[in-house]
Amino acid sequence: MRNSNILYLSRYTCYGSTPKNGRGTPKVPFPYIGPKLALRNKVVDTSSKQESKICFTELMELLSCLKEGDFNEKLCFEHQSKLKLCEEKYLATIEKEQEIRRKGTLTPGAKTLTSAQANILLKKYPQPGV
Amino acid sequence: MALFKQATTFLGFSIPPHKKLTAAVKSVLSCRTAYFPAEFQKPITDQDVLKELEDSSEFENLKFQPFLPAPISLNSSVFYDEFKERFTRYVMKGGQKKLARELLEKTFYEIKKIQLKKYYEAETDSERNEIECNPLVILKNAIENCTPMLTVKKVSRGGSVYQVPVPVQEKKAEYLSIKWMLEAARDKGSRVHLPIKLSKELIDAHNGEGRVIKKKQDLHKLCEANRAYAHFRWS
Repeated sequence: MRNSNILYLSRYTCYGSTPKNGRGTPKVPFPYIGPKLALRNKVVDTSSKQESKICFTELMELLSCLKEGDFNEKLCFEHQSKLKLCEEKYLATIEKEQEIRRKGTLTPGAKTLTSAQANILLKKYPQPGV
Repeated sequence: MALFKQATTFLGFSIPPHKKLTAAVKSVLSCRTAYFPAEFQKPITDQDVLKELEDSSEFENLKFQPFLPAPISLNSSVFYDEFKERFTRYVMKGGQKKLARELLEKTFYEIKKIQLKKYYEAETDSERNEIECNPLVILKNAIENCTPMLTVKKVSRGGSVYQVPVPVQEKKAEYLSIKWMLEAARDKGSRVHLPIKLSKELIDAHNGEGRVIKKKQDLHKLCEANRAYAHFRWS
């Protein structure tokens, strides 16, 4: 890391020289020079948390069926279709969620907001003094 | 050069060709390679679908519907099949589609020869009925028999890589089975022609035996061996 000039002066040196009598380094206060510390009127999109172990039981059933039938696929047709249905259902729900996320339609009385919804609200009512 | 002339005439003024293209000309040129608007539908070539449409009330609306230009390979021939078309593209190497089509035609010929020989050698009628002589049906059935249900996905946890069993999507599964089939067909001596080997492999897979079926089962066995790591897919 490369310290800035101000930091370097304030922490390690005083009046242009380091103390040599064993005392702690003197701290000279300095004014903050940097960007304005305030939140923006925008929220970054973050992906929602996945549900835990989707279609896990179906997968396990299929694997055990395969082992029992000596990897004959025809015996496990039922399990296969079950797993397929489950996967399709899961993918459909994800698509629906993403569509809602993209559109950002506001629902009255909702406690949790998606990023698109929050952005719409922030655009309508921006923070004062930013 | 012709494209350049068209673009310049469209703009209403001529630019000497030795000069560099301006932004305006570039924008016109990019229109040529642009995507079609969303309202453009895919062309319908299936005769049965077209007949059904003519009878239904939807046909009136389609009269003013813009359609995308049909690709060269697409046609409404009796011998056209979507899956066959896709399979030829997998056989193709280096853009030589004509050669790929010819190779597939030869494999169909070989399959027909082998199956007809079996058909005439069969003694009873019940045996004869079981023998499939349509090569296209054999191709489709063989590829369907080789499609895997599960694959393994590499997931690294705690510094070591685990092979996690996951279900395969339809497109990917078909791709895998076609890839294995062609790998098996191309693994041959230099004297053997591809259609001869491919036809044998296809008939084997149609009957539920052979190298490609074994490859699929090996993958399923690998999935079964790694079933303890299945929960890594989510966590």
